[in-house]
Amino acid sequence: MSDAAKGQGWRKDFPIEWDSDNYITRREFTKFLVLTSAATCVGNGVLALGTRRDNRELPSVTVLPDADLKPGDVHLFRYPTDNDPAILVRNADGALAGYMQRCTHLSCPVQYKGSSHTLECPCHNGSFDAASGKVISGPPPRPLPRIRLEVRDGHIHAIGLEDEA
Amino acid sequence: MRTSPDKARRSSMIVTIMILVMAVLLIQLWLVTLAVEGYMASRAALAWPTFGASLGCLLLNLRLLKYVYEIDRNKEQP
Repeated sequence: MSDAAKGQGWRKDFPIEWDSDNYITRREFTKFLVLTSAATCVGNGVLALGTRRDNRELPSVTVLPDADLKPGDVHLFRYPTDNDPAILVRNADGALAGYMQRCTHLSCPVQYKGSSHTLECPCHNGSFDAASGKVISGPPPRPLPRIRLEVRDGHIHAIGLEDEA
Repeated sequence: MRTSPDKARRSSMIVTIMILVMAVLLIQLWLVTLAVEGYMASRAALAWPTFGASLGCLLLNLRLLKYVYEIDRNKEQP
């Protein structure tokens, strides 16, 4: 049966070289993919630079007198900048623990719950161990970033952030 | 001198290159998710290695793209 008989006479009227057409579209798509590859690489570089910037020397900040924080007490402060809420906890054994107060799930501020000695996120019921900052339950994917503390001259100082293990 | 590939051969070559570039790009996307995860967790250890690997992937993709141009150049030769 001829093309005309099959109703495909237009193929003769408009002879398109599909191989060439496919070749060009695939070539252009490949170029677009390489451009995306370059953009991804640039994004990776920006993240690497951002990590280096975040690892700069953090300030030493005096939080409060050591004697003012009894076992089981908490104190809210800001570290390393005024836009970064942080929480200081004195454990029952007298050890100090400081954390960034933002939940690692969606950045809601965590609150201390003395009965269970945990830091609770009210937004999605995430729960962290107040002694270690590790996730006990809920959606948070990572432990709370821990602040390095130092007791000097009778005062508690925040001196940096601990590297996450 | 390199012989000019015919249309079918060129077509299969471009498809092969396209698939290779896609595979490399998928690896890069995985690397960037690792970098974002490390950034969010304030973990610096992965940032530069993932960038280096991503750069390597980009160079590989650029080499493949150069090959595409070589195919085109050969096509244009009489």
